[in-house]
Amino acid sequence: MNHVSASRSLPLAFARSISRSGPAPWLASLLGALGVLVTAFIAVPARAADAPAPGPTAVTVSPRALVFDQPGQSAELVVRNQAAAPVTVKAVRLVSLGDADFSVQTVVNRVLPANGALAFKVVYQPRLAARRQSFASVQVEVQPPEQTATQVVTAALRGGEELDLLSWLIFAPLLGLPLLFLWPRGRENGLRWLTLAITAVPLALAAKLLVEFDPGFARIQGNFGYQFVQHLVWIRAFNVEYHVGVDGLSIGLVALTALISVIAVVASWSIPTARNLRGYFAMLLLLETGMLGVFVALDLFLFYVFWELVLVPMFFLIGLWGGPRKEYAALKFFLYTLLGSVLILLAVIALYYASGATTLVDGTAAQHTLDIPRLIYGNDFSKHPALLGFKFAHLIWVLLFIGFAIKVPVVPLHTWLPDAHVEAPTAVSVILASVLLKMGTYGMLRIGWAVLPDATRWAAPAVAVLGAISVVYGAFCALGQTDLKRLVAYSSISHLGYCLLGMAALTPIALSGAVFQMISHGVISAMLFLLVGVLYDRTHERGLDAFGGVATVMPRYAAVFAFAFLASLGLPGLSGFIGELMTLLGTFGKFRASTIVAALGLVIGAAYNLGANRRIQFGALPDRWRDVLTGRDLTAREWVTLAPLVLLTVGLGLYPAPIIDAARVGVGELMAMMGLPAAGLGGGL
Amino acid sequence: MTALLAAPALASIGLGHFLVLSAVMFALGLITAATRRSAVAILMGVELILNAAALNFVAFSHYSHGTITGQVFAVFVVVLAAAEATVALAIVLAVFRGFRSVDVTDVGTLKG
Amino acid sequence: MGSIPYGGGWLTPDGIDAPLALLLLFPLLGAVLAAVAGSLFDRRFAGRLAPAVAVAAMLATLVTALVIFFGDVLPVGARDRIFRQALWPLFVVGGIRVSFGLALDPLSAVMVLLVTGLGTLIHVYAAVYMEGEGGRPRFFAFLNLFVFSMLLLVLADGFVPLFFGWEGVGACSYFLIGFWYRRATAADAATKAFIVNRVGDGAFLVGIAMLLWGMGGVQMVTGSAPGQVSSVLTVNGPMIVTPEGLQPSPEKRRLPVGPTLDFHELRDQLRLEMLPRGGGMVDATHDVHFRPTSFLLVRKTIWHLPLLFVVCGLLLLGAAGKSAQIPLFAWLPDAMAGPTPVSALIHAATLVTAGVYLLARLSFLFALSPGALTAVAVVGTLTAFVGATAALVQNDLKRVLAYSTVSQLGYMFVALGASAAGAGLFHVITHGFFKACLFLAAGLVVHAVTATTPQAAERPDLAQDLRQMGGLARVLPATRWAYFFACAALAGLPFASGFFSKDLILTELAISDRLSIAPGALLVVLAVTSFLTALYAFRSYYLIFFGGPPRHAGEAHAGGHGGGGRGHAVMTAVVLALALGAIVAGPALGWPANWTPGHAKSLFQQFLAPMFDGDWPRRVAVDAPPALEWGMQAGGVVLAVLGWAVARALYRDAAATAPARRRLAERWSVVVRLFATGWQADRVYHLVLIAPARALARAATWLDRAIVDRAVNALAAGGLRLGRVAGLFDRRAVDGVVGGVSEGVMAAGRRGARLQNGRINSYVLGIVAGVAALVVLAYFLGS
Repeated sequence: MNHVSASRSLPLAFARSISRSGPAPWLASLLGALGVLVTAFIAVPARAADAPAPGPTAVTVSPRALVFDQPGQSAELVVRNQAAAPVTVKAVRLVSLGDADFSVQTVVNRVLPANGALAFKVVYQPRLAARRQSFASVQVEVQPPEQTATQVVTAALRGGEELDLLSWLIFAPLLGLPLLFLWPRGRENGLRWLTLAITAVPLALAAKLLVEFDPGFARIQGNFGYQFVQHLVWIRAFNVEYHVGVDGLSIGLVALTALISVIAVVASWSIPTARNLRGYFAMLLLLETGMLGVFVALDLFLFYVFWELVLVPMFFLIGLWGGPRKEYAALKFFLYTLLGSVLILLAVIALYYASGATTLVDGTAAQHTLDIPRLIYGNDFSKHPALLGFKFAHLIWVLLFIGFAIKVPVVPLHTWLPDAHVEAPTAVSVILASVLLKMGTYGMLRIGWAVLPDATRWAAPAVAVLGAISVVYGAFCALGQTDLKRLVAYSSISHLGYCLLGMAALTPIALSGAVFQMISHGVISAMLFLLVGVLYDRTHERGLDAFGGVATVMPRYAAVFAFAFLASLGLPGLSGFIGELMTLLGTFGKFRASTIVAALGLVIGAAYNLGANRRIQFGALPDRWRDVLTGRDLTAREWVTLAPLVLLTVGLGLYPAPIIDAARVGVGELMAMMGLPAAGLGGGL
Repeated sequence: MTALLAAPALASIGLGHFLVLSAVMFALGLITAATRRSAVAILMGVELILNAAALNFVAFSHYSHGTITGQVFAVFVVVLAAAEATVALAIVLAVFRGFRSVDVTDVGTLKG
Repeated sequence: MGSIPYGGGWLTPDGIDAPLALLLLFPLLGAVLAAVAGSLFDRRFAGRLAPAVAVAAMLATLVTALVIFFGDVLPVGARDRIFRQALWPLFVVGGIRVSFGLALDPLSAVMVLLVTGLGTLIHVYAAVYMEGEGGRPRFFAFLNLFVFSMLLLVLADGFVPLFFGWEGVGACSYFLIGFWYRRATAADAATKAFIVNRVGDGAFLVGIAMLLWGMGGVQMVTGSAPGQVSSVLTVNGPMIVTPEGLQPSPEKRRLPVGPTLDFHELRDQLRLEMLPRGGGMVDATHDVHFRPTSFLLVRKTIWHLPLLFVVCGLLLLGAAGKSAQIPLFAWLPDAMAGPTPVSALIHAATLVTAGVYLLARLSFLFALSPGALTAVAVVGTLTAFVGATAALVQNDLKRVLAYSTVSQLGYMFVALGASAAGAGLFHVITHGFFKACLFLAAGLVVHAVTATTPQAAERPDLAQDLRQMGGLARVLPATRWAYFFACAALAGLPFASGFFSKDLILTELAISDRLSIAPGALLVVLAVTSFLTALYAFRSYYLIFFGGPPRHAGEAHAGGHGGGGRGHAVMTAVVLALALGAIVAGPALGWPANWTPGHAKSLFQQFLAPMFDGDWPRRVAVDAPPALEWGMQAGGVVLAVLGWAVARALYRDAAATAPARRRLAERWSVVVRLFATGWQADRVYHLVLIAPARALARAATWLDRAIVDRAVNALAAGGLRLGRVAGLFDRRAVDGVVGGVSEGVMAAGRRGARLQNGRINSYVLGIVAGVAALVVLAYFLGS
């Protein structure tokens, strides 16, 4: 198997040199990264906030931002004219995205003497209880004495609860990271419990998020239908805002990420302390921050930062703690995904420059915007002039699709997945399979489908065909594998093929099915990889033909193993079936051939899943494993990782309503954007 | 007949004669400096060159301006020559002490 | 009078709320308790806890079923025997409501009674039969879970809950066939069974999607968004076409139109038919212009085929997967690798009838497409024939019974093809009894053979080989007679239940007018099959109980399985009970019409009538002319007796006729081998399914590894080469230039250094040269 002998490659050599010489360099490099992030996130906005509003006149508005927490509360904004000459205040306007919750005392053509000040009242009166925050801004239009041009000075208004739950959720792991390095050198094992504690925080916050999430919150109720919104200006120069929020499509994935991260930490107990445990857990926490960020980011810049942030730790996790061919796998993973990211970056930049003028959250005018909701509702890219000879929307859509397709992965671009899985340690495999792959499909839904609806309808048949191919190709590859972990990796490709098919069909039932399939596959594939890990930890062997009759010595393991592989083949009563059923029912109306090919995937799915169960569990147990495995059934720790997933699989299988109801608003919006009926199966007669 | 007696060329020793003389002296000094192997001989050559220059000074000062700047300069040259000679001889002495020989070709350590 | 009578039989009433969930709760509880308690306390109670819990759960379920049947179902009027219990909504999206709900109507009531009745008996038998076997908690847990899934299947009120049960039984049968998973045969059989079922389920799913899409079309035309109701009733209330003329319907009903996954909603939509009064489809007083769904569906086509034909074809394939019909029947004979009670319960009485139940449940859908009905009848007939021929030449007792099941299921499919679902279900009941009896008797026989033939103990397949058996009549007298009566029922000897149900099917087929091919052809094949059935039934009877080496009674008993006499007695009692059932069920439930004075339909038919009478296009209820019925019954008896006689002649004294039979076998060796391997079903599977799948799998992995990976590696290597070329370029060109310059400077420096050769006189020459150059320069520049 010729492969790129990348061991001499610079990045990994550098990484290995770091790791060999103890934690000191780790400390330096990571604190450096931390420093960069902190400055990027906190220092810059602070400085930006108090930057003098653009405009030559010395007219200022103070305070720059008003925060109201009680309804009916009012506050005063003071416009001060520090210039020598008097200035006329043409008008004071309230600018808000949805229906405004604020009222401003109107001022028209008031002359402001030199060094004079003008105060006016702003009252916060929320119209809708369901909308827990509202964002608006006040624009004061000022005209210097002799000129006709007017300048605009602005102030930001923010009302309602100060919901920074999401920011805490994203940055909890990052803030916990330095604790790892402060941990005394001697007691390495304590690191595991510390990391568990750190990841428990986002899990708790995610639980709180789930409880307080209101599935019925629609777009008309403000904030573009997102909840727990935080909206600040981040980098004024590029019109970049720190805009995070969660809605029906992403709530499930955020919760899944938090849960899987905790399970991954528990599954990392088998990583020996000798292999630089501190660096390992640091990377895991950085990874969690990146993943959570991707799912809640509502600004393309922020989305891209987190999208890239995920790559770095993943590269090191596979590259340093992986199996025999870890360098090749890590480098291949990195280069593949980086190629994708480059394409996404191009698309993001193109979208930025194609977007229309709008106002930032604090009212200042912006020629372009990177804000996803405004890109969706404020712009129609299908009318944009052609670019490089292609229709603009189509070209950008294809760029985005390829970028995300590499992550999903879609068949022609998938060969990094089996290698990455086979070489990655169990815990990393679990995270990779259950969360990282969903970043691709989520990215498509959130950006590809929503921002460029016409291009999506144009490309839907192609996506459906790719989905069907992924299902069948992944299934056949899985059937032909001799390595259990590689088989499970290919099964992931097959399952996500259904997800893609559902997304391509653009009918409500298929889209909901796709969203459900994302979460259900996350749970099932996590279970599968944990089970492979259990066997690998004991025997360091993954070959399908090397085993047989494991059920005789490990009955409980065999039970969970059979359960997981039945869930993977889509047994009704378990969550896998609901996703596939909804996808097939929804897609048949639009793409009959693809659906039938995908239904073939069900049969092959049964073949490889049962084949795996047959070759591992049934038959006679080879002697070399008899003493290795007897009496070493699932330990308590392994039960802790598997039990929640088993319960979740059965729970979602029997009662999928919560996820589907949560996704209904998001799906309804997508259908409205596409101009398709919100009901029915598409393509009747 | 008297003009004949005063062989014009021979009779008056003009500037040209002095220039020729100093040129010859200069050339000889140069040849000595360039070819002799012994440091002291090179110094002698240098002295010859210096004197040739002084000669020129005197000649020009006499024949062209009638002022005595040339002579003053010549005295300068003589004084300098003396100073230079002592320094040079001191160096040669040090070289001799260092290299046990004054032969210029042995003293080649500063070769590039 | 502007009233528009709407016909098409009765709308499904809203149904009475009844605790149907109890029927599911007990087996589920039993399964969980058996698994947990069994594995925890098994050692202390010597492994009796799990069977006890399982049997108790089954008894509780049976009692509940009987209470519901006699307490609730019978007292209610024939037409509103619908009992519902909606458990929870699964998902509501895009105008499609899917909820997890249970519904009991006459059809499912019959199936519930069958499953619980036979299930309890077989559980009792299994409790004794499995003594001494390891892993019993697991066995009884899955047995109960299987009953839970089967009850869920028959009680489901929509396609999705049905699918939960449908695949649940598939999974449970996978674990039960593979109970002795150490044996490769059992493991392979289990995997094969599940995958073949999965093929059927795949087709089933696509069928549902296609039906749903078809219904979507209807919703497009009527313009009413799904779930939005359309009133089908007229100004002065709903009218019902009943035999006595127009009767006002009870109350105004709103009927959702459009795609639905609920059986009763689907049936109501399809059954409705606006009887046009004088040309005009609808009069103005009607508030919604409504065209009957069935009218639209029948005209829809997909890939140039009528939509309903394709949908019903796929559903048939799904049912064939579960009920082991052509082409998906090869898994049933292999499924005999599981323990005998499993074969009895699953592969005779319940799981295999799931397909028949599905077709009965969707009879209103199949009624719309004559092509589909023909397909069902033809598949049934062919399977019956293939099953019978294969059973004739099997040497393994359980495989004989397995192929016999395949054959009898063929008969049931024929009944459904002939739009006589009642007859088909009646045969399901009678078949359930006598086939379970045969299987359980086989279990006893196998135990007896294991006890009496030494080498049979370690080679289980030998114990089931008919050639090893013989002369067991004295050893198992009671089992012998039970086996005889069951064989009589199977063959269709008079007064045995098979006679009633099978001949009813043949009669219904004869009078069926909806098939695209002449029923006569099918009847001939079925007649031959009836003869073959009698032949193989009694062949096994005589081979087991007559001829063969003398065996003394005591030995068999002493060696009897586990609990010695007492266990043996319990098992024999169960077998006798089933034999009695096989005898009594026929006449009690299915007393033929022509034997009754008023030509009244049998008890069973009357009970099921309301389920199927409303199917559109409404068939004029034609009654079979008595002459035809008598003829059919007489023909059936003749064939059965003939078969019995031939079997008796050939096999009663097996040793004597052995050479004759061997010569016969040689002459027809090709045919015999064809029959023995189930018409080469396994080879066909291998060619059609397994070989291409493996080839494609190899191709895919090769493609993945060779093409895509090589392409990626080539890309990376290309990148590397590019890097190297760039490096080369760097070294040659850029370095070259830089190097050249530095080299030049270095060389110049070196040459310059030579000037400093340490000889002073060369320095002097240097000075002179410099001065000279300056003078010349001054001269030239000066001018």
